[in-house]
Amino acid sequence: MVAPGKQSATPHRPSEILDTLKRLGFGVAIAVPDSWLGEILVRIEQEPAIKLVRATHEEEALAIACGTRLGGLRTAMFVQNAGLLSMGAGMVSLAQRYQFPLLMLVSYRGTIEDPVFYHAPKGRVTEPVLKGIGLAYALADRNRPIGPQVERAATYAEEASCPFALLLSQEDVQW
Amino acid sequence: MVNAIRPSRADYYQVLADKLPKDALVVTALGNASYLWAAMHHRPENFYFEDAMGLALPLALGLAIAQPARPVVVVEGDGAVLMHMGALVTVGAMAPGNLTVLLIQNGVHAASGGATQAGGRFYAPLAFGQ
Repeated sequence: MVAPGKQSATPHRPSEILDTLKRLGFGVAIAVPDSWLGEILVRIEQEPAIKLVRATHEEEALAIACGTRLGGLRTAMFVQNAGLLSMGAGMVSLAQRYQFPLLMLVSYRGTIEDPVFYHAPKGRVTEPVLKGIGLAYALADRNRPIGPQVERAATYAEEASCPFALLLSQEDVQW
Repeated sequence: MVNAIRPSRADYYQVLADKLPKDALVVTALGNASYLWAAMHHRPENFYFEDAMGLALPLALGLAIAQPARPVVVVEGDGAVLMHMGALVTVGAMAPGNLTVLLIQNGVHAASGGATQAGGRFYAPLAFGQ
């Protein structure tokens, strides 16, 4: 049991994600929410150092992100895995074609940890689709701190000059 | 010289080239927009789309957000706008004062054979939140 006035022994993982983005100098986040992402986007909206852009579709969000990165801002995206499935053309013919380093933080719905019948079809095909379109990705490890995983994903995107998707569980991202 | 009776795409581009601020950033959609602008006013700062139809406007929005002190001009076609009309709403919500959209409204997919496209005559109200 946590003593009164002490921090919980288990870090709040969405806070760690936000703190990591701030520490790494991310200037903008482009987002299309799902229910897991709603609150962290509200928190980002309250951050003076990070501008939040709410897009209407994930492929549109991807293009906005390419534009902010082209303009010199380190850019993160927040989308659901459904959005990865619907942005395929822009991913290959814009983001990968022009080698935009983008950090994509993705709520990964429909896995064994999220067995909702209407999310399951997306969960089944997400990773095969990512492999098919050549999008670099990793699954966040829930047993390790999330901040360093976000930092490594961001570093990969910069070093490899490409988008990188970090697939997140509910505990990682839902505030 | 501009033909005042029936201006062509090149006429509009010539006006844009003549009036363009030196520090402006120009994004052009795939097809004719990129080919003609590259021939008329190539600069290293231009961003030419070769593909990714419908994404020039949202990319230009991002660029305008990241570079608020520089004018950003995007040349987009009406067929391309139809593919991502939600971007007009996002432009309206973000309202970047440095973004200018030059929309080529010819009612056809000119770069792919001239097939007519339905609708798409009332874009501006979306971007102004009306």
